[in-house]
Amino acid sequence: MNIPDQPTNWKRWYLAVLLFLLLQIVLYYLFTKYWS
Amino acid sequence: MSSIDWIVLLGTLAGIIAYGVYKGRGQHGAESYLMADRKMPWYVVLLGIMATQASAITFLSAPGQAYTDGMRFVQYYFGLPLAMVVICVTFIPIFQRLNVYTAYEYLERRFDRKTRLLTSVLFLLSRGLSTGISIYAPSIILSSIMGWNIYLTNIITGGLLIIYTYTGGAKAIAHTQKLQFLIILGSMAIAGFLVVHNLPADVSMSDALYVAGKSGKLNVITSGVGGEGFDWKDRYNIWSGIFGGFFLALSYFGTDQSQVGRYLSAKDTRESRLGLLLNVFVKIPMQFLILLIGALLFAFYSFRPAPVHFNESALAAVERLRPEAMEQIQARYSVIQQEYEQATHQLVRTKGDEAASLAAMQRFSLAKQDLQLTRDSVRRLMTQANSGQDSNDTNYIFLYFVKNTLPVGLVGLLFAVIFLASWGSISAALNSLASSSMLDIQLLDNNQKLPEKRQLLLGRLHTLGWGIFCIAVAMFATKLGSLIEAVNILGSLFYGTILGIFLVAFYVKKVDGNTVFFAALLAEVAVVAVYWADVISFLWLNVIGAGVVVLVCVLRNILGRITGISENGERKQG
Repeated sequence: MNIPDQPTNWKRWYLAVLLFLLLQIVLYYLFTKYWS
Repeated sequence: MSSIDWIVLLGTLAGIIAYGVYKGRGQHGAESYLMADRKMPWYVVLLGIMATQASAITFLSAPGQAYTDGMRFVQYYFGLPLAMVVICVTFIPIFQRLNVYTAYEYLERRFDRKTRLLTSVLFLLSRGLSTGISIYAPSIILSSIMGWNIYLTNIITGGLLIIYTYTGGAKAIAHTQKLQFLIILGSMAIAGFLVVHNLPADVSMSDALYVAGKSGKLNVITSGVGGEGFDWKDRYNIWSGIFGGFFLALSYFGTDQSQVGRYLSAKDTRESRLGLLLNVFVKIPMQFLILLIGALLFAFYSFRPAPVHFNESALAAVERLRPEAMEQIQARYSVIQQEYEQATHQLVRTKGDEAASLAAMQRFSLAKQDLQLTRDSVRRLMTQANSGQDSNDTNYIFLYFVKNTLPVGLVGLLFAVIFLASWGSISAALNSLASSSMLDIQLLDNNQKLPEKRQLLLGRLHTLGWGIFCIAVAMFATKLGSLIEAVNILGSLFYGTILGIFLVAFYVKKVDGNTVFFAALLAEVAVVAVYWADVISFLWLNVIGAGVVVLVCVLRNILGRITGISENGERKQG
């Protein structure tokens, strides 16, 4: 897997990481509710 | 184990050692031996970070943890993404710019020598002890299952990895971690598939999840709020996970040399950041899936016969010591087990029929309670009989399944996974302990650059010394509860304080070494006092430790401004 050698937009990376966390919490919450 | 399993197990271990020795050849000095020449690409950093964090404990205890306590342990990792962002923004650019070998080297430049010494000693103490436990964790399980002598097993588990760690240093560690982690992930995926595959023919995965869910094992998100408000002693809930977990992850990834050493071996800032950030996308889902294996195992043993205790040698010992009592318990257990299996089947059959499922649920809950009471009575008997065996069988559940259910060949591979997982984290720990004790302690006053050969020899001797120390700790690490928590609690006693020192260094200006040193000592006293008082869950200890250091330093700053006295005791002019 190659990541192109160009200036990295780190703010976009940080945002993606935080959104991923939020998504996980929402999904796990739904998972918990569904199976309880 | 069959001879094929032995061949797979020994072949995998020998292959990893040979690969490590081969990849680690051509060492020439400290930069090469301790930092892998700072040439690692992001994917090696990523796998190195993951392999360092995930020890054998992760893969053995986590399924057992989900089996007994449910999946809520995953919340412990919710602070990780936030911590990774902070580390990428602040920590990495500073460490890379100053080209430091250890995180503590930075503290001497920012404050003074004694602050560097204090933090490195705290690190060496906590990491040295927890690495000993990481050797002990697979050893006690293997010795119990195989009937090996625990002390000899400790030496083999901690000794074999020293071969490639001693010769090849950080480079050998990085390359073996990469391979180890891929083998581990593949094997765990197969094990997870086989849990579902081995369910009875009339039971689907959805049925298994239904049973696990009704038993409270799929409680991934919990609020920690009970009848009397928020429970501060509740270990894993979303709040302790996000806040306590954030401070723990920040401290672990930002200030623990075993992790800092991984991303400082990267080519540049960009590769370090990518390695850390991509970890977030893999770590939490991976942990979720490992815990899911545990929850599915619970369902598996609801449909299939489970032993009254998963630690077979402990069970054999108590049967030998208290034969009559155990005979009675086993007879009762066999009846309850049959009723429980039937109740589980009924629960699944009545899915969708509200009235019938209510009655089935009542029957299931009663049978489950009876089963649990019988298992508890066995544990109590084990403690009374004082057989010297572990009465807590959480860490044995997954391997019981592996040993008794998986096909020939895979059993050997899964046993190899235990070794590989522990080697990955122990080798990185030895490398970081050696870096810190060599550079932060022994060579602290050495201003002249040593010849490369001498640097290499010193690095190797420190690695060997720490290897021996950690094996010695493993010898004493008997009689601990669930091992995964023991390691985390141990880290939490020091992590908060170390993190507090780094936070002050990065974010609070005009603070000198004396103030931060005093604040750190005060914080450590506070953390130990709160821990002994047992009024709060261990994840919050990180917040307290870091909070006290930062607060004391900020207050000293404000006080200095008000009184006009600078921190070295002089009255400011003008």
